[in-house]
Amino acid sequence: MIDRPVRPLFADGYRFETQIVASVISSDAENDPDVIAITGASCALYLSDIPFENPIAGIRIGLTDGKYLINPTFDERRESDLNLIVAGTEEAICMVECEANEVEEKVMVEALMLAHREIKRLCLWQKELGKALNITKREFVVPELDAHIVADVEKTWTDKLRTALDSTGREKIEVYAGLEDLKKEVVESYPEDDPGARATAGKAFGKLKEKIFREDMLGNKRRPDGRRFSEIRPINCEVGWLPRVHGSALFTRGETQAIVTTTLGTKMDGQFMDDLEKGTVDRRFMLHYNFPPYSVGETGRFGSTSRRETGHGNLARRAIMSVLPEDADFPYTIRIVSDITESNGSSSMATVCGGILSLMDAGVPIKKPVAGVAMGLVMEGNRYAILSDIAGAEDHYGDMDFKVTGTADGITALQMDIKIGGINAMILQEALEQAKKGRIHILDIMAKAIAEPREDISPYAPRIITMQINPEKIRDVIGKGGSVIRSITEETGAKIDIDDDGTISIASADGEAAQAAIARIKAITAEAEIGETYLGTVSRIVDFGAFVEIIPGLDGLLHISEISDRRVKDVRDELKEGQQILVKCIGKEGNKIKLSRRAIINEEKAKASGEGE
Amino acid sequence: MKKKYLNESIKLGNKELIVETGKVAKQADGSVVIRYGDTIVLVAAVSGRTAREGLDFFPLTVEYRENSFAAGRIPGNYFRREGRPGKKKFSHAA
Repeated sequence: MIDRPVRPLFADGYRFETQIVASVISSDAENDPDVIAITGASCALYLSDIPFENPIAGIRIGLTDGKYLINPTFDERRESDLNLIVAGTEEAICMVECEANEVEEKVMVEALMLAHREIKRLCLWQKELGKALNITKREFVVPELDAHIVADVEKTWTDKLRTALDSTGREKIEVYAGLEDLKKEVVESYPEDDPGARATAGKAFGKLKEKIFREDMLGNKRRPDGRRFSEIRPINCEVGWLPRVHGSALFTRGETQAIVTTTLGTKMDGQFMDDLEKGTVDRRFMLHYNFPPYSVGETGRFGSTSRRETGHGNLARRAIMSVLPEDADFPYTIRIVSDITESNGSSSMATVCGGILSLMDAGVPIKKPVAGVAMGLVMEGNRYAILSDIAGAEDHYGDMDFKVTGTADGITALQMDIKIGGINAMILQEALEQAKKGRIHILDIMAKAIAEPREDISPYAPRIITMQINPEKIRDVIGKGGSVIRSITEETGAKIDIDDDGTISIASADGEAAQAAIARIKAITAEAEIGETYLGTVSRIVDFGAFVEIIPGLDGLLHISEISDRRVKDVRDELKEGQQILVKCIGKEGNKIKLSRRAIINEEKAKASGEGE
Repeated sequence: MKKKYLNESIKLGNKELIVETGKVAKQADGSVVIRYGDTIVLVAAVSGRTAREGLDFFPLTVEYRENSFAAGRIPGNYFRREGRPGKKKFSHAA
């Protein structure tokens, strides 16, 4: 979040190795250091001789009960429907990261504008600090391309390039290859012994590409692939096509495609992460995004996850998070994996759509489906074009790209990168509205593949059944050093998790094992209820009465006075160990249970005499 | 050039945002200690003096570290070192 807003503010052609290190050295578990680090990075750059001329600031906005909060604390964020991070300069918003609880477009625009007002103040303040320190910047002159060559390339190649850029009805690979060939041709039209001219021609070619793209967009209102501005590429959704997978989807949009799967697990499958605020957090929902090189027809190393992959995965995770069921309703750990198999732009949004399809296929009772669309904006003066579902090429030459995900009712996540100033609330509003139209179009198509979450989860998924026990009994279920819980797990094959509040979740591959485990736990934790009759076994006889086991492992005392309706001289006259008798629970004192056989005998007698009359 | 000292604050939300420079990490081209509540971040920036030729991108790297010691904790990993940044930190640097 520091790189994205800072990078575009360095002059074009600045090639000096630059490093920013932000280190959190004190943390109060209240204020998130992330937005502070953005403003801090700007201060470090701006209040130095590094040629960084335009300060930025970072702000977080929350929204609780219709009230906006500036830089809310962690506690306040838990109540908030909005977690919006905005970075920008005095003139414009540069970067937006947001997760939200189905927030309306209008509210989002308001929050963005509020954030920018605060950012402006912080930027002006930094400029004052700069003056106070009397900062002088290093000199840096932007290298200019040879104007003669630029004009020459433009004159000779514009028409050919325009034709090469037109991707109507053609595949991306073919178009890209054609452009590569043409670039080679342009470069080689300059003498081999003048590498400088050749390099300039290459750069001029790139600039011309951008110029044609923008002209066509704003002047001719034409996208490279001939689509209308708001048109979404054709979509195809398939669900449930991987037989052993708990939930699966194949989502294809134009030339972008993803295999997305959902796997259900138990609590033990959750991910534990170090966290500054809370120490360790247990993550019950994971989303992993993979972008293998073959998806764009390349070869490459399979190493560790790239920043891009992590970032896309996080965005998709945020997009889906707010529609997941509560833990109490659906106690599974959920892992979504998105493997991009073809890519021409918007693969993170394909991940969101495919992820939702796979969740519904897995029978996860999500609150509402979510879809996502990647948008672009090209703007010059007061002319602008808002593009829906941008393809790879459109991503490069636009002035703003933003990804919006949400339900039919509101936004769940937002990510924007803006390269220019002057984007006002009206354009933002229009862009978000157009994104909403696109989103609803996609949701309709998704609903044709699967409209509701499946009733039941896959037979290959673990079953988790939750039950509630008295927290005081947790010790008994666990047993000495875990002996009891271990024996239940071994005998039934079910995995058992116990929470401090007495919630037990029992997970197993088949229902019978789970039922057996439940029966065991019920037996251990069963409590005698006053007034209830039990068939018990006399376990021990003492002078003052007998102990009767009424539930396996649970003994109650049958006092000598409660054995019979007659006076009993010696307990052994009436009972012997191992005998089965009916007893009634007549009272409890702490762990001691009082039983009575007399009460039952009396009841029987009363019944008998009643019938006799 | 000797770095000048500065310590200023501005109201932001219901707290003060405080910036201090010229005290810590003075060999970096630019550095500040920025504070909000009891959360403090040290940011240092360095930009080389010789341009890298032949690059067609800006060689900028950003490191964002949330240190366990900052919150009074010992890291949970095997080596007990401030570890590789987790998922969260990656996205902050980007």
